[in-house]
Formats: sequence, C-alpha cells, structure tokens
Amino acid sequence: MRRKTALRLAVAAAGAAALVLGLAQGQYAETLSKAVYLCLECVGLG
Amino acid sequence: MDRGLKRKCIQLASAVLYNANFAGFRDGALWQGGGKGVCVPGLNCYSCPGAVGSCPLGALQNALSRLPRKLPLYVGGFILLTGLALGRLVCGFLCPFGLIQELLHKLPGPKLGKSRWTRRLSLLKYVILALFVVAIPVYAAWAQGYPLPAFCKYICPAGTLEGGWPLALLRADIRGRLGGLFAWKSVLCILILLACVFCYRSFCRFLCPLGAIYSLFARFALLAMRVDKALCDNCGLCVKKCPVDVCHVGDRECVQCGACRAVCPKNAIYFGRERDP
Repeated sequence: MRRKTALRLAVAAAGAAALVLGLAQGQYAETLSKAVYLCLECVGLG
Repeated sequence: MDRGLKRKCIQLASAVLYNANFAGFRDGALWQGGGKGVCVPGLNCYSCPGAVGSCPLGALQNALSRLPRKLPLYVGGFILLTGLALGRLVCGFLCPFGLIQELLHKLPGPKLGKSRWTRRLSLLKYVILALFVVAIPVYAAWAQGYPLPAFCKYICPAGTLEGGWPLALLRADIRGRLGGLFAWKSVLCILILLACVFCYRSFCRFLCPLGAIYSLFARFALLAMRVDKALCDNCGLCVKKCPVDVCHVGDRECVQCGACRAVCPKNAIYFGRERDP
C-alpha cells in the first residue's frame, strides 16, 4: 500500500511538472493550432 | 436509477459536452475557441464539426513528431494525470466512441463470446500504440521532417465517423477531394462498427491505443472497481459475467463498466479508492 501511494505521488508529480513545463514552452498553443484547423489525416483526405 | 442507466447517461453527457459546438453540425465549420487547446479524456476527433476540445491521441502524435527538439510534455502530463486519476474509467464512462460501440452491440444478431483468443487479440492494441502512435510519427518526423499522425491517418474510426463522414456530407469542398485514403478509412470504419454488433466493444478491446495507454494505469488508478478480499469467496462469477477479457476485476482490460458489481453475490465489489484493511 505504501509503495502504491509512493508511485501515485511520483506519477502525480511527474504529470503536473510535465503539464506546467509544457504550458511554459507554449505547447498549449501548438495543440490549439493543430485542433482548430481541419486535420486532413483524421478525415481521410491526406 | 439503475447503475447501468446512470453510466449510459454519463457517457451520453460526455459525448454531448465534447461535441457541444452544435452549429458545426449545421454549417460544417470547426470550433475555433480556446478549449481546443485542452484535451478531452476520451477518443473524440478534433476534426468533428462539433468538437470543442482536442483529441489526446491526435495531440500526442503531433507532439511526438516534434521530437527530439521538444518532448511531448503538455499532452504527456495530461495523459499521466488523467490515467492516474481515472485509468480506464475513461473508456467505460467518458468515451463517445465507447458509447457508440455499446449501442451497436444492442442490435440483434449473433454475439461472439470472450475466449483465450479474444484475450490474446487484446494485445494487438499495444502493437498499434507502439507502431502507429509512437514509432511511425517519430520516424516520419525524423526522416522526412513532417508530422505523420499514422493512427489518425490509417486507422482511427472515430475520425472517419465523427469528422470525415459529417464533413463530407456538409461541405462540397471536402466532397471534391475524397480519394483512396477516405475509401480505405470508410471501409475500415464500417468493418469496425459491424464487428461491434457481434463482439462487445471490439475496437476498445483489440485496437484502441488510448485504452492501451490508460490500461497501463490499471494497478494504481485512484478510481476503479475493487474487490473487498474479506467478503470475496472467489466464486469467479465476476470474471465469467464480465463482457471484456479480464482475468480479474480491475485488471488492464477492465473498462470499469460495473457489470461484475451487479452479479457479485457477496457484494464484494465496490467502486472508488481502496478501503483500509
């Protein structure tokens, strides 16, 4: 149980750190710019 | 309200929330709001005219194609946190494509039961994850210098069903550009949808790489189906009645649907965090 809790804390910390670092690097804008335009691959055009 | 019906309501609500740009279904224009920079937990194509959020798989493939210049931190962090909190609860409750598959399975017809073959076939989704979501996009970006979201391009039935088909119906400019790839994706999507009539959630069980990712969190996700060992008498009814290929309640194949909970004669199965021993 303790090992599981430690693993959860580590994953939560890694996830939160990655999210914040990604935001700081402007990756939100990159995700947004892909998602607001038509994805040709997704719809089967290219 | 019956637990199964409650789950269906949550599935439907999430599908409507993910695709709340209702005007898009009328004019075929994609939502341009800031919400599209945020991933939704389930598989939902961002090229669906109704989509107001981003697909985590599509976003992941595009972020991976920026390697090695940039690590996929933003979407990777989102997936880590979602997996930790919910695991495959996302598959059972928050995936519109999962809901579609379950509804299709309600249509009359012969139903294929689970077996050791379906259990083996469930490993295919990890191959698809490794090849189409990670290896090919990373290799294409490295070797050719442009992003290739291979899962979206060659396989994803959600993209065809939610994006390709509605947009082809709504927009003449897209209809004029349809070709071999669209035909391939359409045939594959039809085959997958047909398979779901005969085989419960066949896409989730055998092909979905997002489910494969979330399954990696099965052992330590915060919210999940759990067994109270003090009450369980190991009758095995839970595994027998489970519609997917589990070996025990809450393992990597469990989509947290709760079918086991309904049949447990000892009420030993519960949903939530672990109880203190």
